[in-house]
Amino acid sequence: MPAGTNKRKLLALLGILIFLLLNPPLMQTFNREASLGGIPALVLYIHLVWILAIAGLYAFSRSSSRE
Amino acid sequence: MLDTGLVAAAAFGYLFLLFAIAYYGDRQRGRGRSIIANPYIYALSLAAYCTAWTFFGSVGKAATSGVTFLTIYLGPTIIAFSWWFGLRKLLRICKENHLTTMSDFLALRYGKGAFLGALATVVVLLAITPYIGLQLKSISSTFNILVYQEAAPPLAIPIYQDTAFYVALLLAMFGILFGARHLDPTERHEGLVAVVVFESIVELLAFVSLGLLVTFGLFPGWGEIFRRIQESPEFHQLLLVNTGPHNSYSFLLVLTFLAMGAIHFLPRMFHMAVVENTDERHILTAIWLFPLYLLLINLFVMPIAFGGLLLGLPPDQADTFVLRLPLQTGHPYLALLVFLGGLSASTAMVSVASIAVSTMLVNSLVMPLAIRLRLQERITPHLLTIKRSAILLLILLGYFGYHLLFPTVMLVDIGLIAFCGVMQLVPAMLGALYWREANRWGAIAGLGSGFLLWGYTLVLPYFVEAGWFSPTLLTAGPFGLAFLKPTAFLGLTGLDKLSHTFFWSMFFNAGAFVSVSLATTPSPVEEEQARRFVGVFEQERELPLEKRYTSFPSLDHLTLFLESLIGHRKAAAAMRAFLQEVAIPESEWGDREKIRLAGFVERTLAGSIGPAAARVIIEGFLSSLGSRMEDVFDLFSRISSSLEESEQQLRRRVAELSVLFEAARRLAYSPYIPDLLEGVLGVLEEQLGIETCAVRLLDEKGFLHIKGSRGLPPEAREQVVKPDPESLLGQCLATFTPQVSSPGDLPETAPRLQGLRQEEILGSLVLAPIATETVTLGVLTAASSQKGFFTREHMEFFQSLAGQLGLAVRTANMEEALRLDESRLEAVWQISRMTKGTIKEITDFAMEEGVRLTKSKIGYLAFMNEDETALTMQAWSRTAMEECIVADKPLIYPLETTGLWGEAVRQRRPIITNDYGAANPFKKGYPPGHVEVRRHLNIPVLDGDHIVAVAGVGNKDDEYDESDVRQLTLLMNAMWWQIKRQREEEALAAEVERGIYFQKLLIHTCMDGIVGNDMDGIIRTFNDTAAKIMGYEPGEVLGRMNIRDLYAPGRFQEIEAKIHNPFYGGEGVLENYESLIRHQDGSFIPVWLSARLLKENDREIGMIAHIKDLRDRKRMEEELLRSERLAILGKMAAHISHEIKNPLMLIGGFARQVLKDFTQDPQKNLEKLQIIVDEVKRLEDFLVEVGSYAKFAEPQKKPGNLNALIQETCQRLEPSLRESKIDLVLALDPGLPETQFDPGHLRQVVLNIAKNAIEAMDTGGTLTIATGRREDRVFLTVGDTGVGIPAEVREKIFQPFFSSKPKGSGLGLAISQKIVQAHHGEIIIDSEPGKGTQVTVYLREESAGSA
Repeated sequence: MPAGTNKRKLLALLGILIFLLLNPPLMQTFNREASLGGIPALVLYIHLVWILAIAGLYAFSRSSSRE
Repeated sequence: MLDTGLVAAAAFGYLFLLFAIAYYGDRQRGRGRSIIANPYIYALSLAAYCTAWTFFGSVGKAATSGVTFLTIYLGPTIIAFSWWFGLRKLLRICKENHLTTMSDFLALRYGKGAFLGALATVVVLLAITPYIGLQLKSISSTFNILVYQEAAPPLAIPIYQDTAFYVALLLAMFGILFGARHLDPTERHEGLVAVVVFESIVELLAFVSLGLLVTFGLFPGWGEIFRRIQESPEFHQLLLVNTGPHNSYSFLLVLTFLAMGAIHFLPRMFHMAVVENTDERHILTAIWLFPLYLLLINLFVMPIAFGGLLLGLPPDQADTFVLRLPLQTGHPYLALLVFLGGLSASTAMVSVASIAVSTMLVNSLVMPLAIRLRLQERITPHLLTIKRSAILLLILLGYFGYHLLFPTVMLVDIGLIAFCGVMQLVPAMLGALYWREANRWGAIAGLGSGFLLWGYTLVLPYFVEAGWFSPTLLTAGPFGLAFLKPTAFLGLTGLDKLSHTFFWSMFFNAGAFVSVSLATTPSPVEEEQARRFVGVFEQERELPLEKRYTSFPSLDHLTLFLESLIGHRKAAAAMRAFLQEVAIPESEWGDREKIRLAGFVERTLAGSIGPAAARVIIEGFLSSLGSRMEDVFDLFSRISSSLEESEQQLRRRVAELSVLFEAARRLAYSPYIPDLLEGVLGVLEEQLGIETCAVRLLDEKGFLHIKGSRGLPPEAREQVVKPDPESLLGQCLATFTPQVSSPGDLPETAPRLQGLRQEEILGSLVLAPIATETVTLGVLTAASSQKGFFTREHMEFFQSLAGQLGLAVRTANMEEALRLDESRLEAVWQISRMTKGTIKEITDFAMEEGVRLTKSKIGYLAFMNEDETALTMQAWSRTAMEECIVADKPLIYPLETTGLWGEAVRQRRPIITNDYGAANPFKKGYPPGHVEVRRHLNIPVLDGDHIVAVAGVGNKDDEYDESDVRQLTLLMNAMWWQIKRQREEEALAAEVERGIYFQKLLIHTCMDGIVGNDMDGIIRTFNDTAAKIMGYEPGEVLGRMNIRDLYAPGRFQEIEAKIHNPFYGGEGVLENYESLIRHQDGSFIPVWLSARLLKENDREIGMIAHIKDLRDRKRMEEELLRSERLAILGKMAAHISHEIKNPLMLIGGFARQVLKDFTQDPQKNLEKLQIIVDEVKRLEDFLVEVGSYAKFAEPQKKPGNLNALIQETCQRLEPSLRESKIDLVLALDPGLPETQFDPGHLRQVVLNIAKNAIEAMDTGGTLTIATGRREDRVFLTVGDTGVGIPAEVREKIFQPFFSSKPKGSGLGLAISQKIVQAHHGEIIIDSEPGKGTQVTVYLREESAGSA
């Protein structure tokens, strides 16, 4: 179904994005001695990306199971 | 510090609880109410990923390397994005094929070979063993810490005192109880899953509790902890990455990849994610829930670790921070909870892993080995025991292995060793799923080389450290070969150990896998499996049948076979499931079902013993029964191999064909042209969505009529167009090719649009010729303003469609003509049967049929008179009569006054008037009240040159054509012929009547009696004369009496005999025969009759006899005879007296003279006396003759030789012959049979005749005597060359006293005749005066016959 394949492409795209986010270029930007609210930048960054990934997966799951 | 007993009790209590949960889970499944068929359960079951390693090791790693530990959990999160595709595919395949382990999966995919499976099992086993060991170690050391505050130093305690050992045993028991109670082909253990989930929750709870305690209890919060770590000089780098080789980006990357691989291919993970899955769709929940779980459980790792560090706990004890922290901060019960959490984590891992690996062992090592050694029959009953032993063995191996090899290594590193080990499976597994070319050799090469390198570069160094090998191996390489140093393979330095191993192992693994796979070709089994694996999501189509089984065993037989391997209950259940799936009873199975069954049995077995073993066993079983796979003849292989079209083209062609097929179906549905047109137009409209289409058909004059259409207004049907040669229509017809036009062409092609309707030229237009091989019938047009242009492929399609239509139309036309012919023949036949019908009936029938066959409404028939001047109405069709209200319909119409309908006579040909309204010089109109005539057809009915009638029909809906003329003509001709025949028959009948009458007259007026009889003798004809003769009434005789009774007794038989004898007038003819009939009063009547045999077709059917009454004639004959006799008597008397008188006179005279002159001259007296004596002698002789004539005695017949008699007689005649100088010639038949005769008499006859002959030849001649046989008679001839006998003499020659000789008595021949007649013979004389005479005597050969 056209809708399905679009969704799949989106999912794959997001996965790759997450992967890239957790790799040198972007990781490095946060890899410094800074902190936000006491929490180190890197730690925060990683966790935020993590949450984003979970959210995206959740969204995909919801819409897929609705079909 | 806690009381040992308490801890132990808590531990046992907890384990007991786990048992209970597991038991409950299994029982519910047994009842059919699964508690784990739930997406959340599935997602949480994946938390088995978090073992003691997570629980303790993460903290340890965080404390030593900081953030890097997160990669182990980020990896799975990232790879979760692929689960809906990758994991699902893996799941699908495993479920379809009943695969329960990775080794089975690989074995099945790569040619069902056992070696690969075995290799994979070994790899996994070696990778996992230390991992199991570390779980055991963690349990024991945490227990010790809890109780003794110190972990026991390794190697110090003997085994029997080592808690770990007992834990091992306990776990083994647990594993056996919940994973190996029976052999389940699906290997699903619901109890176990329930336990795992429960444990995951406990873990999370424990960890979170501790985390909360640490973060908010011991410290003021996250921020504070992080801030203090950041400020701490020795620890602040923990917050960064890429500060050294231990946390470089490449290292992080490696760790991430390892985690991605491990999450799938650790045996426990494979088991939980694939084997225990109940529904594919649960994956959708797992992809977000599991990463969420990971996130939550890791939230507090860093706080705990950093907290511990900040509290001064040594980093090398970091693995146990989770315990020490609560203990040291006075929360012993929390420590207990944590301990239980750790226990949970470990037990889950160990049980699941041991079960999974033991299954691998059994399926991929034990069973194939057993089959190889032909021990499978011995082994199979003990499979369960083997499996249980394997579980125990595995755990113990883990225990010992750990003890011996890895006592000092940090937990986390052991885990990574395992991760790297199972990573070797990844290329083969990925290839199995996505690369069709991947084959067995590649997989083995890859796995083997990867495994070797892993072992060499990662495991070996630990062995060296543990003291198993000399350290020089690490420093200088094996055999001093520096470039083969395990930690710097091929000179690669600068990487940490893990990355180094990862790189080399994957490099060689993947490299060998790809290159060897490309270099070798897969076996057919592998190809098949590759197709099935890689294309598992497209598997819904039916595969073509290329193979079949010979002598396939019956379902029962196979069930028995299965039973022997997996038990009765399971076998029966499996077979039931199969039958339900197939839904066809066994008696109707074809080869496809048998192959399915074989595959099904194999897969079912594979669930219990692995696919490699299953395959071998099944094949062995089948071949022992003589059943083999053989190729099926692929009928269409040549066609399919020659189809060179792309998938796109093929798809389009299929669509085309389906439309053409639908069209063909509709065309075959009806023989009527309107239906056919509607069918095709319907297809165009419904299936292709073409709004405007039309069918135009050509008539005889070349005009196109629209016969059917869609999207055109009704008046379009009236359009009649003669297509211009330049127009599209004309071109289409002339060239037999389709034409297209599109809106853009419009200005150019305006003159070419002649004949087309406005609606058709609005959009794109295609015209296709409706034609058969050589004849064009019309044009099919299709127009659409929405479809865009019609391309060449479309033209071809329309050509096909129109071609189909052409064929169908032609067939329909032919059938129509045929039907009409049949009807006509039927009508003609009916007419010919009306032999008894009156003229009126015949003409009425013919009229009605004529109207019907020409599809007219009215009709009439009129007869022509002799000189063709007037028509007499004979018949009108019923409808004509009803509708016509003209009064006084005249019956006779003189020809001069008739209008058009008389033209048929005047012009002597059929006249078609299709439009009566049009002007016509011959039209004379019709009287008012006459039914309206719109069109009519009149034909003359000819008999030879003569017009005998006129027939006409009118008011047909369509126009009259030649076919109608034919119909009517033939019908009327048949009718006329019938009428004529009837008339002739009547005339013939009358003539026959007359003939019969005349015949009767003839018979009865004949002067002779006519009697006819049939073969039985019954009298059939008996005329009046016969009645008169015989004294019967005809009525008494006809049909009653028998002919034999009419004749005198025996006479009829004679007649019968003689009539068949050709001698009496001819074969079947008897002429001039005398017989006797019997009068009614009994007296006999002599008759003279002629008779003929009556024959019919050479068969005798009777006899006819003409009878003449002979009574009168007989009487007359008698009288004549009497008078003749009297006359003869008179003559005889006169003759005798004359004969006597003369001699007597002489005697008297001379006697008187002698008396007188007695004394006279004695010489003269002597002379005279001598004369008297001679005369007396003569008288005596004469009287003798007379006497002999008178007293004619019956001959004494006796058999004798005629020839002898003749010769004897001739001897006597010799003197006379000599005297008269006659030559004698004898021609006696030597073969003459013996004849009955009286020799004396016959001698007399011969003498008589011979004497006559001699006397006739007084100047000499030849006497010829001959004998012989002629027919059934013996004859003798005496021929002479004398004077002959004139005719008038011959008549009287047999009369007595008749003589032509002066001195003859005249009795010779008379006597001879009498003699011969007494011999039942006859004498015949042939003579010619001057030439000679021949006398023939016939004698009967046989003796006297009937009286």
